[in-house]
Amino acid sequence: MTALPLGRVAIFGGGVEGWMTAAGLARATGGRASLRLVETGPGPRGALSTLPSLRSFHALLGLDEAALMAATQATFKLGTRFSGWTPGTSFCNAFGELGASLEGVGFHHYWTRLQQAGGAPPLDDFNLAAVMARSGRFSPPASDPRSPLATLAYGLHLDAGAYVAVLRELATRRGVAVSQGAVGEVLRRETGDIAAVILAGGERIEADLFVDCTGAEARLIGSEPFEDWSSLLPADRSLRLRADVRRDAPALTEIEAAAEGWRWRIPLRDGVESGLTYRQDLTDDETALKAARTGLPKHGLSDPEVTPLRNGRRTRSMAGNCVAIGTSAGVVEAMDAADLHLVQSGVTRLIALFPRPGDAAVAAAEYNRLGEETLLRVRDLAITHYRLGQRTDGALWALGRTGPVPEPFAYRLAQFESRGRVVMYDEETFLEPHWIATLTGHGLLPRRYDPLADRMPLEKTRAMLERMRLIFRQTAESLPTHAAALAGVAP
Amino acid sequence: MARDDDGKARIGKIVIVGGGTAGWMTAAGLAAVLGDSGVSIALVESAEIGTVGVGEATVPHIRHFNARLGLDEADFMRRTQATFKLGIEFRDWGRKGDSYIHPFGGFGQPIGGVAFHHHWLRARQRGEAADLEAYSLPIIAARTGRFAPPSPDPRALASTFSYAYQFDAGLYAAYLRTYAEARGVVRTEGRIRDVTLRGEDGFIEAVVLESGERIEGDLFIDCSGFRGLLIEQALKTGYEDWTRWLPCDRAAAVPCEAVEPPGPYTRATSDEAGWRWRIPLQHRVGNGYVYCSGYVSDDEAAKVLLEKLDGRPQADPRFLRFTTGRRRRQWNRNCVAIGLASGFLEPLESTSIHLIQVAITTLLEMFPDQSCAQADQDEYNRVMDLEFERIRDFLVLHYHATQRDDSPFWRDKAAAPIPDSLSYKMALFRERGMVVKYRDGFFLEPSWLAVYLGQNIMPQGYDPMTDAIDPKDSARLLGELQAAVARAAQAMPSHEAYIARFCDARGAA
Repeated sequence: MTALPLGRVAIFGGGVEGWMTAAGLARATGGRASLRLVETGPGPRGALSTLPSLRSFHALLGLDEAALMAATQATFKLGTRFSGWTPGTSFCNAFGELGASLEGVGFHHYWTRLQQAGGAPPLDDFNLAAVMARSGRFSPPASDPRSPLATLAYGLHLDAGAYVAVLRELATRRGVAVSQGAVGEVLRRETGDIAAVILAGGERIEADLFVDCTGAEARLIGSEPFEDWSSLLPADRSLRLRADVRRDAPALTEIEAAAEGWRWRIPLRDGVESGLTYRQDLTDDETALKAARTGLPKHGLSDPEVTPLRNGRRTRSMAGNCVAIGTSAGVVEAMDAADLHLVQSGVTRLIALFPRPGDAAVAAAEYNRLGEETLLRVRDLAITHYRLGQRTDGALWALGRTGPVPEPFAYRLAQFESRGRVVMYDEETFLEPHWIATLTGHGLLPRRYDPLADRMPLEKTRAMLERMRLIFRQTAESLPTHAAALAGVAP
Repeated sequence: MARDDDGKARIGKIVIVGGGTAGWMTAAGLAAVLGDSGVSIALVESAEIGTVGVGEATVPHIRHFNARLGLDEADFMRRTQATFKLGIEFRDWGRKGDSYIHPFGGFGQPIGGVAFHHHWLRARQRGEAADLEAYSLPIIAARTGRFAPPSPDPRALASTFSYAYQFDAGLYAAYLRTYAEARGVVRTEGRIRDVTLRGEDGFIEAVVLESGERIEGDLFIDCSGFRGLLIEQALKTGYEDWTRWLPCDRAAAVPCEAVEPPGPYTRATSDEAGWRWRIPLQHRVGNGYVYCSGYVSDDEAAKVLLEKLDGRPQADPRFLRFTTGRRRRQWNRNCVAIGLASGFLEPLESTSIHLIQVAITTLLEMFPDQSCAQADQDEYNRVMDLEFERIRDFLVLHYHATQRDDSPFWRDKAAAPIPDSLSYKMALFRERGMVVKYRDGFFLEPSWLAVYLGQNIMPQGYDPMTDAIDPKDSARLLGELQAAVARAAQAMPSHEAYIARFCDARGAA
C-alpha cells in the first residue's frame, strides 16, 4: 500500500455510526487517506428518527434526498409528539419557529401573559409545523422569506438497514475498503496508542487512526474511564419491533410515556417501529414487549430486539490515536432524537480536527471539550423530561424525578421558571422553540413574563394571537397530506 | 411598594445617574422602547463634571442601535461630524514597521467545505498567494480611501462587509439627549450629594442632589463613570482587577487639526509603553495614548502624543486614569452599571460604546419589575461577564502576539501570563490554523484571523482536508477573488466624496 498524506484510517463497527463516519471521511479526504471499515457484526435493524441537521450532512455527502428516501422507506418528520408524560397531556416538539416575536419581545411571553389572564390556546397552535403535523400535512420550507412556510424545517424517518446500504454504497464507491470480523485483540504500543487490531478471523488491521464505532461495546475506547449518568437518566434497556402495518401516519415521531417506560413509534412507509425504553430491574423484557405492542395489531410483528442502554460518557472520546464516535463516546437516551446528530457532530468535528503527527494533543483536547459540551446540552433536555413529568404509576418515574441536579441544568430551569428566559450555551443542539415547547409542554409555566409584553394592550394581544392561530390553521389545511407529499417524492 | 391592578409592581421610574455617552445612550435606548408604556425616565448630570468621551470609534452593531431608535443616518452623521469606518489599522504591533487592518468583513468563502484561510495558507506555502489583505474588499477600500455602503444583494461581493462610524462622542451624546428629551426623559442638572438606601433590602431609594432635591426611583442606572457613584460608592459591589493581563492604566487624549481627507478607518499604533489611537472625523482628528504608568510618566506620554500628531493640537492633552477589569456584579440590587461604571477595557478594538449597547439591549431583555428578581440579575450578569471576558481575551491577544522587544514594556508583556481561555485558542491556531468559535460574545472568525495573521502568528499547517481540493483550483479561485476585490474597490467613490454627498457636516449645527 502506498502512503497517503492523511494516512490510514480504520473504522470499526458496520452500523449507521460507522458508515456515516466512513462516508463523511471519504467525502472530506477526497482520496488522500486510506480508509477501511471493519464490519464487526451484523448490520443494524430498526428505524431512525432524525433532526433537520442530518439533511445538511446529506448535502455535504452529495446524497440526493429523493433517491435516499425512496431507498430507505423514509417518511418526513416535522417533530415529535410527547404524550402521557403527565397523564392526560400531550405536546409537540416541532421544528421551525414558535409564533413570531412582536416588538422585540419573544412570542412565548405574550402567550404566558394570555395564559395568566385567564387562559390561552395550546402553545402547539402557534407552531406551524405542529399544526401541519397534527392535521396530517406536509410541506418543505418555502424559499420566499415572507411566506409563513419559510421558517419550516424537517427531519426524516429512515430504515436503519437500508440507510446503511445507501451510505455503504456511497462510501465504497469513494474508495472505502471493507473487512469483516469481530474485534479479537487490540495491540497497543508503550505510549498507549493502538498499533493494530487483530480480528476474530485472524486478519490484522493496522492504521494511523482507529475510529471506534462499535457502540456500547466500545471495543477500542473502552479502556477510557466511563462517567455513569444512571442517577440522572434511570433507563437502562430498550426493546424494539416492527409492525407490518401501512397507514397514513402524520409526519411525527411519537414518544408516549407508560408505567413501564417511554414508548416510541417511528412511521416508515411500509410499517411502523415500536419500542420501549425501560429499566431492567423494574420491568422484565416480557412486560416490556407487551408495553411496546400496545395498540399494534396481533399479526405481522417482527421478533423483538433487546439492547442494553447505559447513559453516560467516556471522559475522553479522542485519546491517543483512537477516537470514538456515537454511542461508544457517550449515550443519552434518545427521546429527543439527537443520537444521529451526535454522530454527525462527531464526524464533522473529526474532519475539522483531524489528528496529525505532532499536534494530536491540542486537537484531542478541543475535540473532547466540544464533544463534552454538546453531549451535556443534549443531556439537559433528556433530564428535563424525567424531572418535569408527573406520572405516579411507575417506579421509573419516581427515580427520574429525584437524584442530583447538575448545575447548568438547574440554572436553565430556574431561569425559565422565573421569567421565561431560555438560556442558551455555546454548543446547543436544540433551538429556543424546542426548549420552550418542552418546558411548557411538561407544565413548567413561567411565573413572570417579560414586562415589555405589557406595552401591548391585552385585547390587542389576544386578537393578534387569534389571528396568528387562524393563519397557521388555514395555511396547514391548504397543504398536501403527508402521504401525498411522500408519493410526490418517491411514488 | 406600588402595585398595578393586576398585582404586579411594575417599574414606574428609572433614574439614570450621569450623562455622557453611556447616560444618553441608555436614556435614548430605554425611551425608544419604554416611551409609551408609562415608565418615567429621569437623568441627572452635572455640567461641571467632564465626560470621558474616548470611545469615538464604533463597531458595526451601533447601526442596529441607531436603527432601533429610528435615527436618520445622514442627519445623525452630519450632527456628530461622523465618518465611515471599515476597520482598524494596527501599526507596529507584530514588529515595528508592520501594518495590518482588522476589517469589518470576512476573507473569501469556503472552498469545498474548507474555510478560505486554509486555502490561502496552502497557496502561500506554495508561493501562489498574495498578501491576505488582497482578498478583503473592506481592507482594499480602506487602504485606497474609498467607501460605499454594502450591497443588499447577498450574492454580490460588495455585500460581504459591514461598516461602523467614527464620530464625536460628545456630539453623539448631545444628539441623543435631544432625542431622549423629545420622548419624555427629564434631565436634572446637579451634583449628587447623597445616595439613600432602603433599610429592609439595601435597594437604592433615592439620590439627593447638592441643591437638596431628592430624586426617587425604582431602578437606578449608574452611568457615573469610573468612580461608580451608585454601584461602588453606595452599594460596595467590588471590582475584579484585570491589570495582570492588561496593564495599561492611563490615557492622554487630544484632538488635532486634520491635514488630509479623513480615512475610512481608525488607526492603533503601538508605542513604547502602550499604543496610540487616531480617529479621523469630518472636522478634526481624535488622538490618544493609552499607556502604562509604570513605564512612562504622564509628561513623557503627553510629549510622545503631541510629537506624533498629524496637525496642530486643538487643546491641551487631558489625562485619564483607569483600572482594567469589571464590576463584580454589573447589576446589583436595583442598580445597573452601564459604561465605565461597569468596568473598563481599553478601546483598542473600539468596544467601549459596543459594551454600552450590549448592556442596554440585555437590560431590555431582562427588564425587571420593582423586586429586581435575583434571577434577572444573575442572567444579566452572566451575559455581561461573558461579553467582557471574550473581549478581554481578544485584547490580550494583541499584546501577547508580538515580537516587539525594543522597550521594557514590550519585553515584560512578552513574558506575562495570559488567561487559559486564550492560550488554548492560540495553540489551536498555531498548530492547525483553527479559530475557536462560540455563540455569545463579540468577535467572529475573521477578526481572530486578521489579528493572528496580522501579528505574524503563522500556523504550522493548514487543515489537512484542504488537500482534497486541487491546489490549482484553489489558486484559480484565489486569483479570481483578488481581481474581483480590486475591481469592486475601484468602483467605489472616495470616502471624502461619499461623505460630501451624503452627510457633509460643514454648516451643520
